Amino acid sequence: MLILASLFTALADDDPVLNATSQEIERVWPYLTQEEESPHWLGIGVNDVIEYRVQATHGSKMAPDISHMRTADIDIRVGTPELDSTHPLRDSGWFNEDTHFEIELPIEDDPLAIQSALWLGIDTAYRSGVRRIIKIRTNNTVKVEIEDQSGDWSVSPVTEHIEELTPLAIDILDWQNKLQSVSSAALGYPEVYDSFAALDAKREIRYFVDSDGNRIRQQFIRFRVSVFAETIAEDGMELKSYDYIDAHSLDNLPSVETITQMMHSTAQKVTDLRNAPVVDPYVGPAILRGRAAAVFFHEILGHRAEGHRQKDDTEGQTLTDKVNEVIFPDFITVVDDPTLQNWNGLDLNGYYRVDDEGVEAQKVVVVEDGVLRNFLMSRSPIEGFDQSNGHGRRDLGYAPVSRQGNLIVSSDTTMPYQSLKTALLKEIRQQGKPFGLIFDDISGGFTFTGRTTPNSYNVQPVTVWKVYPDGREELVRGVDMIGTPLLTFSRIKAASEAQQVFNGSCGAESGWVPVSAIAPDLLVSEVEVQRRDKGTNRPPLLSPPTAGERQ
Amino acid sequence: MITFTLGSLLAYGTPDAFFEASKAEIERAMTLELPNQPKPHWIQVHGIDEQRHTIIAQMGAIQIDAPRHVRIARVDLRVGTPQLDNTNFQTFGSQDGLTIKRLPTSDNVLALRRELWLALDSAYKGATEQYSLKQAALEGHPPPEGPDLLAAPVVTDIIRFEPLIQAEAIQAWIQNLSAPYRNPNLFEEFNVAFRQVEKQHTIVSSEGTMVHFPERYSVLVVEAVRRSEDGEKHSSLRSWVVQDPTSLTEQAETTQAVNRFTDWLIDLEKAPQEPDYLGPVIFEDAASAELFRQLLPSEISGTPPESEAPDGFGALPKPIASSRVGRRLLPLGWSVQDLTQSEIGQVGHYQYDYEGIPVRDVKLVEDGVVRDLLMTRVPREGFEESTGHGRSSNFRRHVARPGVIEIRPNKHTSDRRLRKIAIRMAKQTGKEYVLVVKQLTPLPLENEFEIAFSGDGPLAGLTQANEIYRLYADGHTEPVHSMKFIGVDRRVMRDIIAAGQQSEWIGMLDEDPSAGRHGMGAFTGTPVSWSAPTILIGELELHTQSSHEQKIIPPPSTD
Repeated sequence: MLILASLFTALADDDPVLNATSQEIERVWPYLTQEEESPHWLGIGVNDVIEYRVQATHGSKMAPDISHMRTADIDIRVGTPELDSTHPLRDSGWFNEDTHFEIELPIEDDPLAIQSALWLGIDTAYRSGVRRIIKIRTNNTVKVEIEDQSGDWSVSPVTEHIEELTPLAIDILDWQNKLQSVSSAALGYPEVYDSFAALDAKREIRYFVDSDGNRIRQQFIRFRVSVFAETIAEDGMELKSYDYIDAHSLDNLPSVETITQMMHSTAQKVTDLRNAPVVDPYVGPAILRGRAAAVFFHEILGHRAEGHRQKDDTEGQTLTDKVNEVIFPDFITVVDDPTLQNWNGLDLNGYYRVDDEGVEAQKVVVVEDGVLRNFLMSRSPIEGFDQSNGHGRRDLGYAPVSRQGNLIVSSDTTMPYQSLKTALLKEIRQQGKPFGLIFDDISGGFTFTGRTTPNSYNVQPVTVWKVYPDGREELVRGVDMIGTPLLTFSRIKAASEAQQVFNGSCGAESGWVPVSAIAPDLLVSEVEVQRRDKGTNRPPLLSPPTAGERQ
Repeated sequence: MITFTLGSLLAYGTPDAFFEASKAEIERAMTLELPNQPKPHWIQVHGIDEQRHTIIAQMGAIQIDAPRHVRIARVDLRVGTPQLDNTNFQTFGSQDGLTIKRLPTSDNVLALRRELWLALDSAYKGATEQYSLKQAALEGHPPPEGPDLLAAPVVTDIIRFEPLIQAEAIQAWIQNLSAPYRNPNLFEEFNVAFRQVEKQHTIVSSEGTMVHFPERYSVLVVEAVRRSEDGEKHSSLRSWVVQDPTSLTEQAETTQAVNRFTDWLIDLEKAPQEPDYLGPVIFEDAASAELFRQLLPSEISGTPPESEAPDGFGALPKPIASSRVGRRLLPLGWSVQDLTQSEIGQVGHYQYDYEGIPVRDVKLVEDGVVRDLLMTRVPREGFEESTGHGRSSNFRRHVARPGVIEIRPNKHTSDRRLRKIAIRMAKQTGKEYVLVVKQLTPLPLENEFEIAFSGDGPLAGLTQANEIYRLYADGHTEPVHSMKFIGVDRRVMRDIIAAGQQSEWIGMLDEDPSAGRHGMGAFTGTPVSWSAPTILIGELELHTQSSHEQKIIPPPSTD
């Protein structure tokens, strides 16, 4: 069955969602601005999201999951750009008004129904803003002055950006058959207990309209094919491997043969890991392969370069006072460029043209030749950086804050991977260590940036190899890479020629947003690994059922 | 917008593959054994293959149009012996022998077996740990009386049916139903929510039971919100739960009922706000059925509460069942019967419960006194046979729950006489009128936490009266704003003074009372049917809570 998510390819002038949202803002604005406590800005982001998930397991089809929803995120700012209702309330308890409202809209293009829903949402949001600004004024009087005295909102040029809409077409039955075949590959690995192969397809139309006159319509079509395999080691450690390829069109997805190969290698990987030894906590030299290095930079640098963290008194503010100071070796340059759609033929998750505050995305040089130059900015200004550079992003249901898009790490001096490995062996010997580590693949990571927790990071590898001084490699399991940012920045010694892409999603204050990180393989003179949390369950007591067997 | 019928995408499979896979894996799992630990004595695999279609409209425009097909297995594995096993015992955060697993929807026996193999492995380990917790709790205490699981006859039966989901026709009907109310100047909100559910249950047990039977129902909820000129917010809703969706969409009564309640909201503009009220209250038939649905289930369910671990001082808590045989629940002459087996046309009817036991009718209350109880395979003293009422809507423990319940008085008084009695009682307390409840908010849709948590005041005990009016001695009536009850419990049922006409069967969704029925949502629960007469209760307390907040912005124009 071929499913066309939408045959609607409206021109902007005819777009009922865009027009209904614009008209409602135009209609309500005069009423709101004549109030004693009036708003200085009202923005509405409407997201129309169609998602499909087709999945198969053990050579058998699962029913597809299909959804279509349309939501509106309403942000209203009561007060002035210098001080408005989004200003933080310090030490003020749990039960304060929200600064942001999410409502559900009809998926039908019915202007009256859309405007009616927006009307109720805006009225509620405005009342909440009024209540909040009353509290904020008192809070600012009672508390000490906030360290960053910049305002709450910055002016940006008005943008009109309308993208063409195209349908999302998927042959579900065809994909079910393909994935059924792919998933049967895992049956050949008796120690793989659970597995699946899946296709996720999503079309997201993101509208944005505000009281400044911004009118945006962007379309994002994303596909992901993924395979998953899971086993349990005899010591109870749950071993999971998830491999995937993201693309912006069906044409850019791999062939069934390639996906089948991914299924095989994923199943083989967890089978190998099941029999691999556990590595003890250790400090020593390591190579982070490209994807691991990319996540490493996303966690240790990217989050700390987000503008709003420099302003928030509860944040650790690792980089706030380090602008124009050396924070990395001088061969490292880091940019964030959301305008980049793909990289060496791979589609990038972090691509967008206009951010969720109506500001055109810009390439930002965060670190130049090792020196910190800039922050990723939303429309919330910070001292010394009073303009947005198009990084205000959010997930459905959240207010935007500054976030990463496509974080790209590059090196002025590079070497082939084999030379990097030779350098690692040299480093092992120089440090007198029994072995070094190679972090080959990772599943994700996280970092703490606040003041009440250690300012540290954790990168979670899937595949780690021990490298002995004689060059021998041994697969190991059961460790996470940990550390603190400033110390780690200085430990980077060399980089490879080739860069690799990590496509993923990043969860933070404004929800989950798609991101990419690109980095070369890195030689780091010292990393620390700690034991990974492991499960306590025994492997299944009975052998798996097999075809033709009755008992 | 995506519009299609899931039924056309994936048809139901036959039960044969599920039977085969379950039998094979149950056979293997009965051999599971950890060193020095008990073996399984009973296993049940319950497959639920569900197709549903949900349509929600706001102001007549479709907001959600979501088909879904899912197949789930609930695996229940018990270790020990039927006399003492791991069940009927709870500790906070512990494992038990229940596992839920999503299954492939194609009938691939090997794939089904792999999922069941993992589910049974997990269930065995959980059951074994739970068993040790129970043994530890009983250490130093006398063993519990009675077994944990009753023997039951082996049943084999296959009831086939063809699912029929008609999403497009329903969608068009919802839009027509909403059309007259698409005016934000008249109604701030007008929401219609519809779900059609078609389930196939397949139950296989280690005793040899293999049954396959359908469950089908449709739910319709219509809600309107209106704000009067002074900013007062009035809202009301109607809900229907029926077997066949065409009984809603092809009947003029549905539209008429919506017209009546929206007219009611408009009339509330001029209605007075009732001061706090203490006096006689009439519940019209639909409100009466809702009242009994809220107060009666825990009084007629025989499933004993789960036992618990000793407290910090070593004392073993003894949870007390709400239901007591011999308790007077209703006035003399009243009866309550569960007619799940015989009332075939009702949405609450079914043939087998979720333990694979054939359901039978039960006379629960005679002459106002509880004489019998609804039972699962978990016994209690004096009740050692299942009546086929073991169900759950959240995959947890099966609890004896009503299916089709009829409450009958010894005699039906005419409405005219019932009203006369009520007025006379009101006058005795110095009132010129009596309050009549036309509609109670259905329990699953109540959003006031007061029902579940008392806070500083007494529990309400009943959901809000969302349509209520004054009845004066000369027969004229006057609507009043919605009101909340205070301090209602089962004893008010004994205080019924008179009964009027019997209601038709009313379909509802319900949940196990012990699992917390408050805030279930429009679409959760299992279908039940209730019939009860209009009743007059001698004294109840109600109060009003108003909500005034003028909108800053006028509504958008319909032009």
